[in-house]
Amino acid sequence: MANRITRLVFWAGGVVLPTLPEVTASFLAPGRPATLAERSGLQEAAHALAIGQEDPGQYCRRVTGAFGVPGATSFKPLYETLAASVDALPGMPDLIAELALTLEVRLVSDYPAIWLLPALARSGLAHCFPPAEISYVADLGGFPGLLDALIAAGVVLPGHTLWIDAHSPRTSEALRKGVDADIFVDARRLRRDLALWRLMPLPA
Amino acid sequence: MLKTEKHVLLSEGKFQVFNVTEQARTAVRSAGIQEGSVLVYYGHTTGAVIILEHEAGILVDLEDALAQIAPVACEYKHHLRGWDANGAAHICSAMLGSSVTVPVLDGDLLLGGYQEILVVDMEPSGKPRTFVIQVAGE
Repeated sequence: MANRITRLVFWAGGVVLPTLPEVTASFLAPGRPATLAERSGLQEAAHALAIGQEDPGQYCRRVTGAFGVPGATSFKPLYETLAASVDALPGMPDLIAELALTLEVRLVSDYPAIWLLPALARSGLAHCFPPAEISYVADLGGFPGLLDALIAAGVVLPGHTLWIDAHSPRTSEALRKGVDADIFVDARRLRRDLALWRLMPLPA
Repeated sequence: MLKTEKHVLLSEGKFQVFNVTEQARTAVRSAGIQEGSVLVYYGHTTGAVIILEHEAGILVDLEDALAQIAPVACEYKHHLRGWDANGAAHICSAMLGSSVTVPVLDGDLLLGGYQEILVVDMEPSGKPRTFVIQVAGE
């Protein structure tokens, strides 16, 4: 019997790529953990960027300020570094490429295109997620309206889509709207979970 | 050997769940113990630490089961003082418990294949939330 799940929808930050706050902190505070105030600032800035309230330049200005990096010009290196350095999470390129052989894969991005597309190209995932098939949170609004918008747009097909996300409030919201969901921890765990969904063989 | 770490989560509340298994595992490895135990403790009265399979459906089922026992929209006596309105979270916190202890052997957690250590924040609003990992052993 054919599996009713035919499409996997991946959230970008924290599943395919590191979260934007994590990767930003690694550039702004290399070798040390971000302070609580810095983490709060990053999280707020990333949210504003994701939902389209601010653009990537504003994000960089805001977070360099939160990290106490002096000078109005200091945001530009971060902007360029994010475009040139973000890579997929370990194991994800191989896993997604394998899944794309038998299932439809889609991406919902909290990253802006200016940083997402180079990261996908660097990670060998550009062919799995062509630009026309990427949905941006900034274009669709935040949760829970985002999920409704994705259903209306035919990106998420309730009953046939598995929503893969590291953020438990979103997976819970998806389930409450009739969309199957899986909580992402890492590529190895996702492989196991997808085997339990009978979407790929059990790992050895 | 006794080693204690404090961690802060930036939580949105409303039953947000954090998987802290790897942080506990990392704490055990950095402590260098081979045999002992690790305690994971939540430092607030509106959340819990539990051992559970970290699966999206189970989390919704747990939230729904708790909501039947302690619905969010209810007139709790705790609300009478007018300071906050998180009575349901307090009841659920008391039922689930604030800590778990996991045995350690051969330098790793003795968790079952589907067991993971989860911090559940049931506070109605988002706040920084503190949890503690304490490793004991030799």
